[in-house]
Amino acid sequence: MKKYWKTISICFFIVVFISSYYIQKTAMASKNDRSYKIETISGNKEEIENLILQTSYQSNDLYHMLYISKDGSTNPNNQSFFRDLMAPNEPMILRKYIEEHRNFMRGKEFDPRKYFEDKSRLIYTTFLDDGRKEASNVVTLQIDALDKITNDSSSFKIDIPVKASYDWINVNDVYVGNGKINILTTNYLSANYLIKGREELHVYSIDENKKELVKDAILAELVSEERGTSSLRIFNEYNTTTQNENYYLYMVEKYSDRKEDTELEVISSQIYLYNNAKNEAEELTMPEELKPYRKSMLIHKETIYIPVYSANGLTLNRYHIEKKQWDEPLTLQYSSIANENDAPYLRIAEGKFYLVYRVSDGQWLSIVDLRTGGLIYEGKIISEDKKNQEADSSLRIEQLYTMH
Amino acid sequence: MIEVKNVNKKYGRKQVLKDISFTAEKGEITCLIGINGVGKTTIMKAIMALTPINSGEILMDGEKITKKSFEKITFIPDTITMLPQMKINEAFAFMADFYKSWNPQRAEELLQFFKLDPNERIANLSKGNTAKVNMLLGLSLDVDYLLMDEPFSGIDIFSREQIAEVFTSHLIEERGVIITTHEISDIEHLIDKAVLMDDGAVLREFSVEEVRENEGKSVVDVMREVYRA
Amino acid sequence: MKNYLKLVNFEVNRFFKLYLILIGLTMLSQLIGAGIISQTYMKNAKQLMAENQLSMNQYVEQYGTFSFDRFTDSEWFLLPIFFCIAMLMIYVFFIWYRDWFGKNTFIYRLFMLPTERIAIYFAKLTTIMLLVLGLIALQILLILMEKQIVNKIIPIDLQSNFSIYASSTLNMWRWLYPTSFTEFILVYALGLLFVAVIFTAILIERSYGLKGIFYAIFYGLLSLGVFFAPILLVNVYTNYFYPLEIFLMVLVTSMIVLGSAIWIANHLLKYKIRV
Repeated sequence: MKKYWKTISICFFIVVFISSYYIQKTAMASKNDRSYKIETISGNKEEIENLILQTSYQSNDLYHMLYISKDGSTNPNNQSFFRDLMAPNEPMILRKYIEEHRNFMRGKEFDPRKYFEDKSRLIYTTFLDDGRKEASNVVTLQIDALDKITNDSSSFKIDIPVKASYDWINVNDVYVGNGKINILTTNYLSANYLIKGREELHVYSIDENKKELVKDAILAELVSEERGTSSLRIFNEYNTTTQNENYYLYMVEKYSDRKEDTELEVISSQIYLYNNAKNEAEELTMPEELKPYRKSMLIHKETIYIPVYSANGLTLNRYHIEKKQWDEPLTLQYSSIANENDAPYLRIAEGKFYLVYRVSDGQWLSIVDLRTGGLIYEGKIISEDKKNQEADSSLRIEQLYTMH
Repeated sequence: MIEVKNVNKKYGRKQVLKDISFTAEKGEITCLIGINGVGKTTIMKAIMALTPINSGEILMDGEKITKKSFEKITFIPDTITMLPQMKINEAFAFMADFYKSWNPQRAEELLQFFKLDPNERIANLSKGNTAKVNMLLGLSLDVDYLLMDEPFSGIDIFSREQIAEVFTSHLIEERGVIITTHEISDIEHLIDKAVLMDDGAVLREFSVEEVRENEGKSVVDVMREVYRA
Repeated sequence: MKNYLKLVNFEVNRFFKLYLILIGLTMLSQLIGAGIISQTYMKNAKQLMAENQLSMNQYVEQYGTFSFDRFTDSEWFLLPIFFCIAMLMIYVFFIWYRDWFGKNTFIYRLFMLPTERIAIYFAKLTTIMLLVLGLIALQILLILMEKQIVNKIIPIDLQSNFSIYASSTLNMWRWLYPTSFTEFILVYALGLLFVAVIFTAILIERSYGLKGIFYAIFYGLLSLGVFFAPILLVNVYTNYFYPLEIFLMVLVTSMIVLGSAIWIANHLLKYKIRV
């Protein structure tokens, strides 16, 4: 044995230091791990049955992602190497598709905005090469459709003539209805010495049966000189695929040139609604008193919501698009300790609104029925390890999903 | 018995062994004779599977060489096959570690016979002593067959005598020995069989005793006959 | 098996002196470097504090804290690591060639051992791995010691947070010590694969002489090609494959490369090698 001491001591050294390093590392990592749970205060627990909150917290100068559901919290980054391989970090909403339609999802970009889903079909639209075309003035749009019942998929391509050679076409939303596919895109063109850079908002209308382009409507154009001092904002939710959005809600704003140390001054601010069924846009006028809150508008089905937060609660203003009238606002009384940097999280989905705001010992979740305005669920998101004081304060709500 | 049958070998386009065949019996000393570069060393390497052959067959006691054969046959090349930074006793330990057939008593005996210091580093030994250690490492294995490549070349006269003495001793008895040399005079009286080679081919294989008795010729006489022809 | 272990021990012993030198140089450079860098920092900080009449807190506000990276990015820390890597890379070749070249012809002895010759190949492979991992383990110990040295010289209040257990603090660290143990195994298995391919290439060269150099290069490129085939495929069909599929493909091609390296080495050692 004595003869082997060198080899044995090297082996011993390796095993001891490398294993203790990894043991320690795992221990340290789990020390920074936090766990949260949702504690039901009132209402039916079934309301949070399918709820998943995507949150983040900061620890040791690093951001950590955390999913919180009725079963507690899971850290997607803490998964083992192999779990990571099985279910990589795609947007949650698409993970279900990958699991159920592995082959259809193959090779597709995991961007929820490019997908449309209803009861029978899953549709994916993409501009090949992100809409970049060097030589010819044609870009190719590819549409893949999966019949969820028969599991058959079909695909077709359409060449779309373009005025300019765009650098990039970004799909914002897809609407499918009555044999028509409307794709809301933002087309970018960067400036060079010949042309001015621009940003355009398009709706490409496709006839699904004839497989041809019906209309290419330019809803807004921002030219380079204005760029940086003008902005385009789309209010439709970007991380959803399930609901068919009959309307696209967007806003074009122009600002005066920025002078030193002054706020940007708004010159013009126009809000438009694009009707997908009729393929037409119309401008929306907003009461003067709501204009300051225009940036937090939400659209859900036929209603536009404008939340206004105050010290004692939320007032949710509502505009019914089809009736063209402002309904009585919904209100929710609460007192939050939140400051300006810490706005409440609001999501409207499936006839309910979900509001999460900060309270002294955690975050408060309220679910309100949109039809009746009644509070149907209240719960509190609290840290499971009470020792950790800062645990509560650094948790941020990033997304709220309802999974089916 | 070691049988070399129709062995051919090429280095590139050059044929270094041309249909070589001979046998070496156990209990006999077989000598491969020829000038430098006729392929003597190559045959020995081929027997030990240290170099590939293109065709032919080499058998030891009717079997091909495998890893087990190395307990039964050993090769003493003309340079030492131990690390120069090792001491002699470390070299012994290495051999004892890997070979079942290592015979420590015999190694000790030979050490005394050659008057070598076991604590000496191989790198510090004189040429003659290095050759002795090299020989010692091979001879101390209880093997049936011993291959020695030019054991006398480049060694001083006294060392030569000592090594030659080994051949007449019990250390060699019962074993089959194949030895190469380009200078027959030192060992002519020791060998049982001679294999005369030239240019990669065997010219003649004969029993020294038979030739002496039947034809009254010495090895050198036969060599003259063969090489002058 | 027993002979394999003996051979590993033998190979380790052969490198041990040089290994101790490598360890010594690394320790010397890193430990002294940790002292010098923190002392220089402290001297500078004290001077600034005295000149501007700053308290420690004010100093931190104005000039920031001492980051341990300042040491780990320095030559004191990095040069010995690069030196060790370079030496071991050279030794991957030298571990074979030293047996062929020089006055002694030790390769005769190795090939005449009553053991499968492939055991020599495995023993040398294992030795390289042990030497690499030994240094990897040493660096863990060293960095803990260096942190202690820095702590002795620079007050904690002047230092930024640092932990070797936190993920990816140092660039170098991320490669040598992957995040999880599974990844650690995979990274070093990959290293083993490349060493095996180099070993087999060396044996090809040793078996076929001058022509062997071309064969060896061809073999090396072919192995590399097979190994990278899935990655190439993934680049051509962007997004087409799921991560698990890519991983399995790489696993399969790695197995092919490793399997063929060992098979070829075994064949050459048995039938083709020349000394």
